[in-house]
Amino acid sequence: MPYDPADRSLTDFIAEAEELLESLEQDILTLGEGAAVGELSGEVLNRIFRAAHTLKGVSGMYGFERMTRLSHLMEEAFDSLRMDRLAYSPSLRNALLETCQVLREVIRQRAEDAADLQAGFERCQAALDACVHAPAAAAPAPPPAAAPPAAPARAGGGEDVVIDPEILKVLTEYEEHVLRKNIKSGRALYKVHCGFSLDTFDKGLEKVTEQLKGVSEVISVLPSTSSGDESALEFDILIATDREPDTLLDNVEPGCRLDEFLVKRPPKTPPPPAAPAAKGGPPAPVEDSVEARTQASTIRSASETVRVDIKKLDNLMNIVGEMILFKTMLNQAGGELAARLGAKAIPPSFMKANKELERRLKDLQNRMMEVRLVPLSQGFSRLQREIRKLRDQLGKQIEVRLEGEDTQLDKLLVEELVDPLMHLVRNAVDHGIRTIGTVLLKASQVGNHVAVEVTDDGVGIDPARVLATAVGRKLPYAEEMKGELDRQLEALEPGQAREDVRTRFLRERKQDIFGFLFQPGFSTKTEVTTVSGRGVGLDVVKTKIAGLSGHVDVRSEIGKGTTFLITLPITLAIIQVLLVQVGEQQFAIPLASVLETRELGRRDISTIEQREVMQLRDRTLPLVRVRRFFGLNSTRPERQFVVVVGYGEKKMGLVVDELVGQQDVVIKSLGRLLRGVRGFAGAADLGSRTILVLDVGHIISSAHRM
Amino acid sequence: MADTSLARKAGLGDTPPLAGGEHAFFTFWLEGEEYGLDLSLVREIVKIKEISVTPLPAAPPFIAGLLSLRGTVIPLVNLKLRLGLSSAPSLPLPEGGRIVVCSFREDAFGLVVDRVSGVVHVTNDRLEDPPEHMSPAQAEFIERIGKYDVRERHRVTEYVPGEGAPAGPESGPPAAAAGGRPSARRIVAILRAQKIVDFGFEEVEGG
Repeated sequence: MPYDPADRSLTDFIAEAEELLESLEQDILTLGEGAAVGELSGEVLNRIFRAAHTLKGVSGMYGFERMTRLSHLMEEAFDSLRMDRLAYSPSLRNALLETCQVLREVIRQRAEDAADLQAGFERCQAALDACVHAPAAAAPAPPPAAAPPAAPARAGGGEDVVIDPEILKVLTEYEEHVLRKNIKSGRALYKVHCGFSLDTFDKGLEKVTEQLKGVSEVISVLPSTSSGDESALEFDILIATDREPDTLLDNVEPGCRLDEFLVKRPPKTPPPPAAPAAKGGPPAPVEDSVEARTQASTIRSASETVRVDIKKLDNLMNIVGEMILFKTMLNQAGGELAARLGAKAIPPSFMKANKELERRLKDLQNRMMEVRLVPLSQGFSRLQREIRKLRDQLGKQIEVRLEGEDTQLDKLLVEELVDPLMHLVRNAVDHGIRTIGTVLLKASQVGNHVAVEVTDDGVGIDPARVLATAVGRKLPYAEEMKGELDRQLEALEPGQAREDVRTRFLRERKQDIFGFLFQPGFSTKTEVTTVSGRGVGLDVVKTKIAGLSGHVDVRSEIGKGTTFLITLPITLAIIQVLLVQVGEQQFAIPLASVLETRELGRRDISTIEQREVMQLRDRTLPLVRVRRFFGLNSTRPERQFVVVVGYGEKKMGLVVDELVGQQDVVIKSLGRLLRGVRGFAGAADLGSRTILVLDVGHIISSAHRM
Repeated sequence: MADTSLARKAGLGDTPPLAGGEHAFFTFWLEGEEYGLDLSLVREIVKIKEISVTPLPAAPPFIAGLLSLRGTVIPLVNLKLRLGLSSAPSLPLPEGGRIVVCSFREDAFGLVVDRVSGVVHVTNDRLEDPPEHMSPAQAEFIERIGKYDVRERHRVTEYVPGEGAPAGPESGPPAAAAGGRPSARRIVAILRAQKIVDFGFEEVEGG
């Protein structure tokens, strides 16, 4: 290996390469969308070209030879695309996406010489090579093949156009290409002259460029040659536009001057339809290196972001959590002092400082959490890719829609969420939708939670078949459910149709029946298509989501489609809990799932089928005694309390001895070794002791199964 | 013990030999017998009276509870129960005892032991297969038997990582440190860490 895993800069490289690949993949898809409507965005092409170029540079620096070669091929492909030498075909898109995937694997393994990677390298290289270097005839034919080839020898595209050779000299090949394209399509060209003071020119220039992009295509930004003022920097921004010159600068910073540039809009040119994509041969293909040509455009990349290892943030978060604990202790000490010495003995400055400290700590905590938040689009783009890949494999016509992908979630959660979501998405594409349909990925924030939905408009899940499968698999409670249905069918009243009873039962108990989908053993990988194949490995999804203190639910109508709904806390790090006492031990219940608390009266309890339930207003809730659930051996006190917990329609009462109080806690995972211990979402460090945080989702589903 | 050689191979992966075909083991006492673990697995020693343990209901009995250690939560294994040396309940922990904090493949855990013994270096030729007459339950956990001379043992009472090699507070060559201790042969049962942390959970719990 030419590198050392402990090498810090390698970590930087990994992070940067990952980010570049992420943006490459995203842009490859965006290009695909553009290609579908016959228009490749120049901006995206430029961005993607630069990303490939940078990737080539950094991988070369770190001695990843094959990665360098592949990113070079990608760079070439993007260059050809933006020069209109190549059309964006599905085969090119697939080759590009696969290349990204192989490179991702290199990043993951932090090495590229693993045997299993070699086949991928060969395949990608061949596929890209075929796309990029194919002879013109073999290349995907540009739609208007008969279009007259651009006259390569002439300086300009129009009859009376001569481009100033001084200008041509400073343009990159690509810029020149854009310039000619615009001339050909009859747009007018202008030079926008602007000046900025030395210390703020970068921001000013950026602003003006952005504003101009709104009304025109910006071809190039050139330092102005006609500079008069020593204290200012002046630029000429070369633009092409359809708009009338007199309104062009209306929304642009004052102080800019519009100069006509060489070509007039030919008065009688019929408005040429925007010629889609590829033209014939390029004007004299230039052999010089891509680097030399793009230097001008890559130089100005002023990054304002810092990459940070998530572990460092975790450490900071832990410290903040501990500080908050100490703050609580200070508060208590203050209270005790006041009780012992009288409130007057406590100087007001102490109280004030205490209050301020509390405020700032809360602020710090919130800011820290914000730092960890990233938009879900980071994960969604991977899902989108997966859907398209699958759909192409299966030959289905599936549209992917994203909603709310800007919703922010803890970085760690986004990463952890991708696998379970992928599972749901595969199910939807594979089994939910027969041939044509839409998959919707939707995220939204609800209070302290984020809801993520995977919805398809496919065949839906049939509760009857789910129940039959559950019985066949001998899942707990399935037999009872079936028995209930059979009893109702036997007790048929005259005039009642058997089918009606069945349908009503299935409708009323649908959510309970769908609960079987998430049970282990409902479906195995080898028997995929039993219930429209749904429910494959859903228990794994559920376990994973529960591990993130989240909850997953399903809604489905036959013939209309299916929605899987995942609810997650925005950040894992700090949660509010209700502390409760059971016997000698305290437990924490996430406050987000607590609906209300009340004292348990003897008369509130009754039993249905040997399960304890309580009447709460007009609802009957199952009761779970925490003492019994966890097999704690201590005697039950006279007075007890019920904590009503639940998500959505699933509610239940947890019976505890005492309500201790609310607190903010830093929740820690129990770790890999204890992954088999169920019922706890994690542990919270309260300074002097550690308490367990109950996994309400697990307890609820166990209670419904009991 | 049909799989001894295979298991040993796997075990050897965890116990990198020192120069000269020597292995370093961290040893401790349980019910009057000396046990050892590969030294590279041991992170630190904690006094039981200095910690508080959170009972973990619904876990196997040999898990004594959770220990919170500088921001992370680790399982605490009652080694006596795990090895079948005792059937006394895990809690409360023996007051004078110690917790050996280890990490195996990045997973940290604590072992409850009666007393810490020291660090011994055992040459390959003094490492043997466990005796045939052991109970199958114990045989699972014991990888090998090491023989050493008591004068070669470095005493360790406190071991904090990052403070140099755990030669212990008594530095200098072991023989000198022993202050003319008489030579005595000892045996130590080397435990298989991989087996200790295999808590027997299925990947996905059924029903």
